[in-house]
Amino acid sequence: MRRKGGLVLGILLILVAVLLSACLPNAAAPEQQESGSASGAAAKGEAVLKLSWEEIVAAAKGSQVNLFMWGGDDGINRYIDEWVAPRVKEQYGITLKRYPMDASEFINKLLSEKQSGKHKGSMDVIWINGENFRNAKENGLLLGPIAPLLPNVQRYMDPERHDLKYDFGYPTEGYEVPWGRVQFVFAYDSAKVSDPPRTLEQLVEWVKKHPGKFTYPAPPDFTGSAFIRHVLIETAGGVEPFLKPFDERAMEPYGQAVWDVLNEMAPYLWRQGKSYPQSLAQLDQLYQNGEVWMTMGYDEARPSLRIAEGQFPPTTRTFVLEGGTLANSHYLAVPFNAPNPHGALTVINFLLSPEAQKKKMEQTYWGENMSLDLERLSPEDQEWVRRLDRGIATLPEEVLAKHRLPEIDGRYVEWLERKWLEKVGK
Amino acid sequence: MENNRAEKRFGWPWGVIPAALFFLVFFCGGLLQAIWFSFLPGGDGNRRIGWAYRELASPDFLHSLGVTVGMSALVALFSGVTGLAAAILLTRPARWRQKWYFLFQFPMALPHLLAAYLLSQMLWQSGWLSRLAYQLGWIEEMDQFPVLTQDEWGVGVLLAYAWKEIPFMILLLVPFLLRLQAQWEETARSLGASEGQTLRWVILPLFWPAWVGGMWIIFAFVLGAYEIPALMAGTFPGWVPVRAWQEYTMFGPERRAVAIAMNLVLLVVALLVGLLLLHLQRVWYGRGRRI
Repeated sequence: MRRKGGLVLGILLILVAVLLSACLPNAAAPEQQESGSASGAAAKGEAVLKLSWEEIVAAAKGSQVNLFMWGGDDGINRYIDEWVAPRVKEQYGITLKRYPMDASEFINKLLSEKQSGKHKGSMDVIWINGENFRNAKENGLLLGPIAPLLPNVQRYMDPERHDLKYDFGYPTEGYEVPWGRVQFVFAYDSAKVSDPPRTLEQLVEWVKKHPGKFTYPAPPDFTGSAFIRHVLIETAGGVEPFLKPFDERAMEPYGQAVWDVLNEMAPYLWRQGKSYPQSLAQLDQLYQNGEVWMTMGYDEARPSLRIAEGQFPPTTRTFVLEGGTLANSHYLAVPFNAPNPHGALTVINFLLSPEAQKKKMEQTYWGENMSLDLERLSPEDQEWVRRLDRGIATLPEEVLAKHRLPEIDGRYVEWLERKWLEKVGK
Repeated sequence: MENNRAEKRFGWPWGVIPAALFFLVFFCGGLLQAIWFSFLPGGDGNRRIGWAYRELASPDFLHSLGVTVGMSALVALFSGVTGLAAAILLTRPARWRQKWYFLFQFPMALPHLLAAYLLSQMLWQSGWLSRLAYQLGWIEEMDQFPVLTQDEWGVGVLLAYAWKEIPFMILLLVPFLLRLQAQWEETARSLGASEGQTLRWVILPLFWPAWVGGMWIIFAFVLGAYEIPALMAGTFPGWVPVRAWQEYTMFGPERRAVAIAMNLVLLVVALLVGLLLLHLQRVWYGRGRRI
């Protein structure tokens, strides 16, 4: 009996060893994988890029498209589910399914799929920008240059536009197309704050005068990370030094100035800076409860929306810094192993139509700025945009446009995020 | 005896093969891959084999590790002791159990994430309890309410875990205690043991291993769990699972090795503590299970 048991155990171990050796080399050698990825499904994906637009739309009919996107905003989710999905069904016969997932998470998923050689994935369209796009493109996780294929990109976007060519300073090469534009704003309760700060210096002063009434989400949270980039730009006196490629040694003195200011503020922050909200949602909650008097966010229209939903006090207003606030575009892209690239392109093109972009700009769902160029729209649409009421707390377009700064290379962002824990945590 | 019967029916190993295969492939396979991945050289060839671990040898990470391990042990001990006391109380007169047992089953149905969320809504300085205290005039300003979430001492984390793990201990121990009572208490009584003697010389020695085992499960779980520290713990020094998650998702793919190395460190800690407990148990058995 015992001997037989040993035999079976031996067989089991061999089996496991075989199984492991079958999957380990793939994980070990992602570089080799990249060069030899021209197998079946991937080839099918790349073949789409050579089709005409009519062929793509025809092939997409009756298919299902899986849209993976951050799911943390109810209005955005409803825009996709209630407005976009029924229309792509009606116009193209496409069933659109939305899967809520953080971008960093699905990029990691794609990376694992790439490493294990999985050529038929589950995502057709992904919503990304910045660091995630750079990681995706550098690791070969995207289908290819899709921008030249899409009629609405050709028709409504100026080919020389900065955000069409660069995403956080990284060249897009058409691998992703802008879906919307947002700008960072600070929000405050005008019932409690009569004269909001307009520069970083004034903000520090304000924080010292009102201990416990200001904080920011702990980086690497997206919003908290954007906040410390503003500190960087303000202390450096402009965004120019950071539009160059990243160089860690040159960065040290700039970084030191940031940590100095943040550490100077820390004792006067919420919880004396011993703890920070872990997400924007938590900061918003503190603001709603009146525990802090300011919040912030990478979306100029969000505070107005929150007022309309009854979450923020109606006396909420927004401001930008005199030196400007960061603005970025966010993008749609197709993964390398999308099961339905035809449908994916069709849906993306629809999302970039004036019809869909106008609806996105209305306060009903999202309230976010268009990614289309105003001067390329029809005169009626241009008039519509000019007359649109974007809510009481949203700054007028002229003010926003005058204070718009371009985003900086993702490597600066990662560097700041990682150092923050070390330098401000002490 | 029972083993013999099973052996005759299935032949020695066949019964365990499905479970063993599953374990070997998914657990051991994943583990080996993780170990492999965490040791790989990285960067553009300028980071040698094992660089991820060398990076972890910083006072910063060791501080995090210390807090994580210490807090996990504290949560396990606290839940273990409280859970044991409650379980004994619940099983002494049988009718208490009928009345209160269901109450302790309730938290088991809620996921940790929800538990942390509800508790933070309640305990924030601008939360439900603080508002209630303010309305009742116990405090003059809402920020006089004690800081109980994301606090320096981990009170919020401890409370959130206690709310989930004490019921776990109770559910683990109560059926066991009841069986022991049914089987052993009558005998002990008829041999003239008092209540206290029965508890000390019969019940406790018999279920001590299950109790310690339960605490070890909690310890190992808390060590690796993300949700509650993410929501309830202070930002600094940052629990290891939270930091691992940040490294894995936020700082670029080449940092993933660091995240996996962090998790492997936690795994080694859990394993070492488990082995230590097993050793202690053997010694204890050797001494005749005396308490």
